[in-house]
Amino acid sequence: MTSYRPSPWEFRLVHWGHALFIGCFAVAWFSGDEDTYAIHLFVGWLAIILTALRLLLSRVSPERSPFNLKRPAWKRVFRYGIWGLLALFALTGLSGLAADHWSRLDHLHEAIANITVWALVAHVALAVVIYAGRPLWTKAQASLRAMIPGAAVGLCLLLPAVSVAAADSAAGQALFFAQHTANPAAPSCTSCHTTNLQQPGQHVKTGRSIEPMAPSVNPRRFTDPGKVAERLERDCNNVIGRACTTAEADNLMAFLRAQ
Amino acid sequence: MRRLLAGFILIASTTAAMAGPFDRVEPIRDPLTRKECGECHMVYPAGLLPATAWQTIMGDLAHHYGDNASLSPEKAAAILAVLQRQARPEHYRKEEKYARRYPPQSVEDALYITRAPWFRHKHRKIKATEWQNPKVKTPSNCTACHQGAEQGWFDED
Repeated sequence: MTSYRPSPWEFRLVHWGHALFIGCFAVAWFSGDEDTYAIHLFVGWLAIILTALRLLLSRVSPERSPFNLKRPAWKRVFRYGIWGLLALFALTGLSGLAADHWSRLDHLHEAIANITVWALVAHVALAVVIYAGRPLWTKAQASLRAMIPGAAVGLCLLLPAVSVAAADSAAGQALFFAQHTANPAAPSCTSCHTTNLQQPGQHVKTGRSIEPMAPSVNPRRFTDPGKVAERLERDCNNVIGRACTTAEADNLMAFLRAQ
Repeated sequence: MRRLLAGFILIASTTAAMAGPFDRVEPIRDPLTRKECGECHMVYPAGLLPATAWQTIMGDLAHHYGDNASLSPEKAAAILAVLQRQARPEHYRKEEKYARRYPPQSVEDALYITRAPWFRHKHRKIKATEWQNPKVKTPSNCTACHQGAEQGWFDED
């Protein structure tokens, strides 16, 4: 065996790696709703890329490095636990990608994510048990060091998720009633939908009758996500003259769904 | 007897000649086409335009008579197939005669039912004030006058 000694930077990277994984998982866990789906998809990809990088790092690092998955310093059960956890991360991400295409796989994805949570708990418990021999202060320092960047990264990633989840219905209302300049024939959403959303509207150009926007009087409104996306794409372009941003679309939908 | 038969044939043939190719058109029955087209405008019977025009229209839905009417490529292809199956022939009877009287103003005219020479001929007696009636809004609003337009029925008068 070579006299390889891991540098402090490697341990710092280990801590940051923990931070990224935990941050990813936490954001993914809390952004599973329809409203925050874009972020969910983003962290899902991030988790897959991170896992791939982690496995690559293990392949290229020496045996005694903390990145090598066959590190002899680890107890066997802990080592197998890390392998299992990484496999579960990869499976969660990949099943999520699959579920994005075939929505029948949603339940499978959720089940794997649930198993991963318990694997995380087991991983933490094992780490505590195995390193219990060290002085308490060292342990506390190490875990704190691992947790601070984890919390920071998690917060940074969660902030946009939270802001999307708290879509601003008032801003949506303002956008809906605003007068725009791109299309003189239809300067506002109300040009066709009128200012009373519980009444039928009329297409400003063709005269075609439009069913009421308010789900309270027209329960079939907004029940087909594909149709909602299609109409948002078209009508933002038609009325505002450009595509709506994700935030604008979320705000509009928050306002309209409540009618 | 022979004279009677000749008279009958004469009357029958003039009656048949009076029902033009655009008086009764096959309506759209395909549910997807009815839904997607009918969301914003009357479901025009495909027999009012030739297949080439439908192809051009369905090929650029992001610029649909000045509006964005984007559809997923799968939906657009399915709808185009329906429209082309029911489209009118590229040429129709008296086409040249009408075209001489109402020559096309631009290449785009081929995409407008309301700019077709036969349409102009048939609506030549409609006054501008009638078109501007708020209930009519635009010549493309067939149902304002032809109640059965979506059912392909234009010869009520």
